[in-house]
This record gives sequence, C-alpha cells and structure tokens, in this order.
Amino acid sequence: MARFKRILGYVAATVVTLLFWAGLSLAIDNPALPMPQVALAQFAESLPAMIPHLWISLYRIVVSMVIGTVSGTILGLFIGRSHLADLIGAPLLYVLYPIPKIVFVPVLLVLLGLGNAPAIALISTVIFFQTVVTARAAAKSISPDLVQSVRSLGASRIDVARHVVFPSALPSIFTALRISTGTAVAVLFVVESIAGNTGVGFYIVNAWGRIDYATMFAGIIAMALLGVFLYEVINFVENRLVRWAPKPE
Amino acid sequence: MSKTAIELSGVSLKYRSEQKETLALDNFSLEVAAGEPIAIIGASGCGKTSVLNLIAGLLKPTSGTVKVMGEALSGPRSRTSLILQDYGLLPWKTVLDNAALGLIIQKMPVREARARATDALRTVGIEEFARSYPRELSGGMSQRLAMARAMALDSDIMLMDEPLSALDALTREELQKTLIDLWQHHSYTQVLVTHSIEEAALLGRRIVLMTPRPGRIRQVIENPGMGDLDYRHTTEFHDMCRMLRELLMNKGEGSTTVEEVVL
Ligand SMILES: Nc1ncnc2c1ncn2[C@@H]1O[C@H](COP(=O)(O)OP(=O)(O)O)[C@@H](O)[C@H]1O
Ligand SMILES: [Mg+2]
Repeated sequence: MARFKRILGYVAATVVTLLFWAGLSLAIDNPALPMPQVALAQFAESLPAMIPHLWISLYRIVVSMVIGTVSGTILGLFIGRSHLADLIGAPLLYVLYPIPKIVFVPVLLVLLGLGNAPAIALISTVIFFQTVVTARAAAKSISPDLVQSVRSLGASRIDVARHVVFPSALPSIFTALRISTGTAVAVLFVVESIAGNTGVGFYIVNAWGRIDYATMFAGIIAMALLGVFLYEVINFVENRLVRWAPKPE
Repeated sequence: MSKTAIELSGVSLKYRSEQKETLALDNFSLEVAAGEPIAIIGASGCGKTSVLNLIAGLLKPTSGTVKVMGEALSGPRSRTSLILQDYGLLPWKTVLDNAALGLIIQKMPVREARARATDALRTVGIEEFARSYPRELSGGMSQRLAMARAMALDSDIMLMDEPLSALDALTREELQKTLIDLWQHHSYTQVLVTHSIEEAALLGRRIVLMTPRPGRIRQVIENPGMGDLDYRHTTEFHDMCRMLRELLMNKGEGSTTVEEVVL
C-alpha cells in the first residue's frame, strides 16, 4: 500500500512536471525549450549513446558519496565525542564549511587533470563537509544518561561508539546525504561541463554547443533521472538500516 | 554474619564545573550486606543518583573508598547493574537486543546472548515484545526491559534510580510486586533510590534518609517487616510510613540547613 502510494506520487509529479513544461514551452515558443514529447522521443533515441556517459557519471557520484559520507561520519562523530578534537575541529569547520567548494574547480582541473579525479575530489569534499557538520551535531546531542547506562554495562569507548554513537547518528547522516544529493549532481554537472569529454554533463553541454536542443534535453532528462535514482537508493538503504525510527510523512 | 556486598566509607564527592564546585556528598558511609535490599530516600538534589554512580563505578569519590564484594572499585563491574531513571534503553535496538546488550558487550556470541535475553524477558513478562522497539513500550514495560537486561547478566547487585517514579499508580503496584518477586527469587543486593515514602517502606529492609547539600546520611531505619506485597496492608507498614514522613517533614533537629528536605 505504501509502495503503491509512493509510485502514484511519482506518476502524479511526473504528469504535473510535463504539463508545466509543455505550457512553458508553448508560452516561450523558442527552440531552446522544446516540447516534452520532442525531448522524450529524443531521449529514447539517444539513450544507447548516452549509456556510457551515464555510467561514468554514476560511477563518479557514487564513489564520491561513499568517500565523503564514510570519512565525514567518522571524523564528525569523533570530534563530536572528543573534547580535545572538538577544540581544534569546531573552529576549523566553521571557517571551511561555508566556503563554496565549487570555486576550486579550476584549481582541481589544473592539479588533477581531466579524468574522474577532479569530479570525485570535489563532490566528496562537498559531501564530506555536509556529513562532518551533521555527524558532529548528532554526536553532541546524544543523551549522557544513555551513554552512562551503557558504560555501566562495562562498555569500552569502542562499544559506546558501536552501540550508541553510530546508530543514534545514522538518521541524521541519511538526511544529510539526501540533502547533498542535489548539490552533488549540480557539482558533477559543473565539473563535467567545464572539462573533459565524458559524463552526462559533457553530453548536455556538447549538444548545447551544436545547438541541438532536443539532444540537450535528452541529456537533462538523463541527469534528472540520475538524481531521482540516487535519492531512491538512499531511501532504500535507509529503510534497511534505520528501522527503529518512526517515519515522517 | 553475611558478607558485605557494598561498602562506602567516608566518601565525599565534588562536582567541578567551570563556574563552581558542588560538594554533592560529604562523609558518606554505608554498608550493605549481600542479598540485602535497601532504599535510599531524600529530596531531589540530595545526591542519591551520585551514590548509585559511585557504587556502579562510573564516578570516583573525591575522597574515601568504595568497595564492592570486598574489592576497591576501579570501574564498572560486570555483575553490577545500574538502572537509570530513563531506563537506559537504546531506541535503535529491538527489545530482545536491548536485553542482550550487556552480554554482547561482554563478548558473548550473539546467538547465546539472545537465548539468555529471551529467558530474561520471560522472567519479567514481556517476551512477546521481543521484536518490538522500545518506543512501542509503555513506561512499565520499559522498566521491565531494563530489569531484563540486568537479569540476563545474572547481576548480584541491582542499583535502581527512582525506578517507579514515572509510572501510573496501577503499573507502579504491578512493578512493585515484580521487584519484590525478583528480589526474593534471585536474592541480589538491591539499592533502590526513591523520593516516595511508600516505595522506600515497601522495598527497603533498611531505609537510608539523606540530607541535601552536601548529601549526608541523616538516619538509617530498620524495616524488618518488608519482603512481600501484603506488607503494605499492615499497621506496621503504615506506622513506618508515618514515621518516615515525620522524619522527612521535620526539618531535622540538630541540622543546620534550612532547605533540607522538601517533599
Ligand atoms: N554532572 C554534574 N555536574 C555538576 N553538578 C552535579 C552533577 N551531577 C549532579 N550534580 C549536583 O550534585 C547534587 C546531587 O545530584 P544527584 O546525585 O543527581 O541528586 P539526586 O539524584 O538526589 O537528585 C545536586 O546538587 C546536583 O546539582
Ligand atoms: Mg537523581
């Protein structure tokens, strides 16, 4: 039932988006914004050619998400639980967190070349900061009483981390991950569109350069689907790992 | 003469925070025999929880010594169970895994730990909730789960911090019965902290009255009639409650503090 509602929701959202798109396209009447059926037909036609690009983009983003989330979680929980580490870590975070990491694209392209490395480095950094900040806050909000009662069972610091700190932070880490998915796809697009000749971002900008707007939109649809897919994967994993929390909605 | 299970001698405890120092306990000495159930009663803030934390090995005394089963404590001890006011349940673990937590931390294989935890859940009467999560439990069942965790560990010392204060009257009565039954079956040493006069009289063979700031022992009262639920209907019980109430209300002859016990 819940699954059925969910699918219905997606269908309804897609219909609304397509209607809006069609309306906008009619109103603007400019080849840069083709009608949805044109773009969708082109999407179907271009899909085989796009598949390698999709794989590369997916690879870049998934690897970055894993690197960013794992390292961010470990460091965030650590500085959230250690007084000493927080003394240095907290001010460092306050300085670095607000810097828009995207401005480092040119530097990374120079340093890391045009392959996967600059995209992965940048996206993992974005996700890393989001996760560190979230994990630190989550670790700080753990009830001292809960820790005390687990410690009274003879728990070591590792036991406390495993049975209390990590599981209690997991829901907020998933929220952080979900929020950073959008940013991650955006950063991916920017990096791929500026340099290299691989990835969906490149595919879009390349079509744009050829003034082939239908193909450009096929790429945009692919990029959007990539975002939706990641979002759903995160939800799936979260439902597996966080069964205990009451679900919002 | 039975063995001494818990021995606090000349214990004082200071909390230091950035702005100030609080002397929470001062020259606190208490012996509890193995298998003896005692109750500690006193106003909130008088240092009851601190006493439990000291016995549990979670705090070190500023001066004085704490011995458990004849040995000076150096940290938590596996067969001492501390049940805190909020039950100390982990929301992300099932009821069964919460009950098994102590055993898992002691590195018992999961399968064996769960089997023992299942027995413990049965003992406290909540085995049908084994697969639920703590948020699905009522207050009374949460308390039972906290006790199951201790039972699974085969604890010989049970420390309880106001275990029944958050429960409604009916549930409280059921749990009082369970507490008495469990103690009689397992004959562990029990230290129960409370601010309820009835609970102290029902569950403490000796009742320790504390005075606050700094926490000191004001008086220790023998309560030999304690031991079954029917005790509450006897005149002996009512006399005991009246006496405790008078002692607690009367601002303490010979004591210098004014805001001593406020109930
Ligand atoms: N971690 C702490 N830091 C500073 N002061 C504390 C701390 N824990 C307790 N206290 C103080 O010590 C006194 C005794 O506290 P507690 O043992 O919790 O009393 P009770 O359990 O009887 O309410 C109180 O005045 C309390 O404010
Ligand atoms: Mg207390």
